[in-house]
Amino acid sequence: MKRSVLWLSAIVVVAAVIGAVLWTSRKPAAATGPVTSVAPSTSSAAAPNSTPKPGEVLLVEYSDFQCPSCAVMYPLVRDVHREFEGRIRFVFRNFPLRNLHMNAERAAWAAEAAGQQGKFWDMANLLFQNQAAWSALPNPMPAFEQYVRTLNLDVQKFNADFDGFVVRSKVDNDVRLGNEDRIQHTPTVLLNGREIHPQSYAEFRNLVNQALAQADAQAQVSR
Amino acid sequence: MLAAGARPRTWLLVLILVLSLAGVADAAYLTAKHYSGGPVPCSITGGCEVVMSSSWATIGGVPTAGFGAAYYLAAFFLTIFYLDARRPWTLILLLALTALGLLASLALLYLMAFVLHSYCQYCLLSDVITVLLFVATLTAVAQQRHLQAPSKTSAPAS
Repeated sequence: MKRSVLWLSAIVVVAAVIGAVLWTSRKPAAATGPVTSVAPSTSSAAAPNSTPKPGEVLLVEYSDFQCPSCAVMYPLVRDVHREFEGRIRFVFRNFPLRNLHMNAERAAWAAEAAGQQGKFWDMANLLFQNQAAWSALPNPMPAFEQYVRTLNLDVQKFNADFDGFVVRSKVDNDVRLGNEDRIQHTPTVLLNGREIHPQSYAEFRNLVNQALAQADAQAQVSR
Repeated sequence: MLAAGARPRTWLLVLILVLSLAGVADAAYLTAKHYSGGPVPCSITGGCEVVMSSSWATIGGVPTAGFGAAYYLAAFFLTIFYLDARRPWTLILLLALTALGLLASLALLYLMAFVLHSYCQYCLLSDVITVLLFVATLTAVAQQRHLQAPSKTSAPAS
């Protein structure tokens, strides 16, 4: 009897540990249906006001274009912003892990330079979709310029902006804000300043709905 | 203290069980991530995605972390078997297993430090667990030998 209790307990404990691990490590599931267009209208380069209006929630993502996990998170954030447009103040902040990803900072400059021509999100889309193609290149610029041409952007202006003060200081400022927020990893998603770890689109949507309900309640109280 | 019987102290065996379970959780997490395709977050101090996507992340198509999970599971159930049957050879086998685990961990640590130049925090955690597991098992074996020594001329321990 005692022996069977020992073995049974051992098996139950191991099963519980493995079950818990599998539950937490499941892949974030993107929204159902193909995602084709680029949703967010807010250009990162435009430095959006990060103060939400009453009834709005603030969603901040710190992201690194060379981080595989960010590429997985990106469609979720994008689709949440699309679904809740007008109720979410979304801010994308570059947080290239410079010592880890050799092309991450240049990718951030490329996205912000495209943002100078109103195509930040289109470029972000292409960078994440083609992450494996440019990540290991000693010089990713030819790949980036190909994306610029795909988006019908002005290549000369792109190159000037890529090297320009506005783009460089935007990325530097994002990194500074990330350091102030004590970002430890990418992606880091902050919903009203609180870090969230959505594992699926449904979970993400629930978290946003909860935050919106709170924002509504606060807005009513303050009236 | 010798009157406790020819067996290591219970807390030491519990420690081995807890360490094994922590190892199972750590290795199972990386194994699950390998199969689900969901990458681990990119840490500012880490390089886990570099390590996990390297050619050393799999051996013969099987994720390296999977071997780790099997190793920790074996250590866990060997300890349970020892608690059940109290066969002294079980701990010797566990010592051999953890020594093997330690060597494998050192080899993987070498790869991270000198080949990949990137460290995965989950792999480093596994290395720490492996070292502690080996030390705990070595202590348990030493206690067993120490406790068994006076009883050689008397009745064998049950």
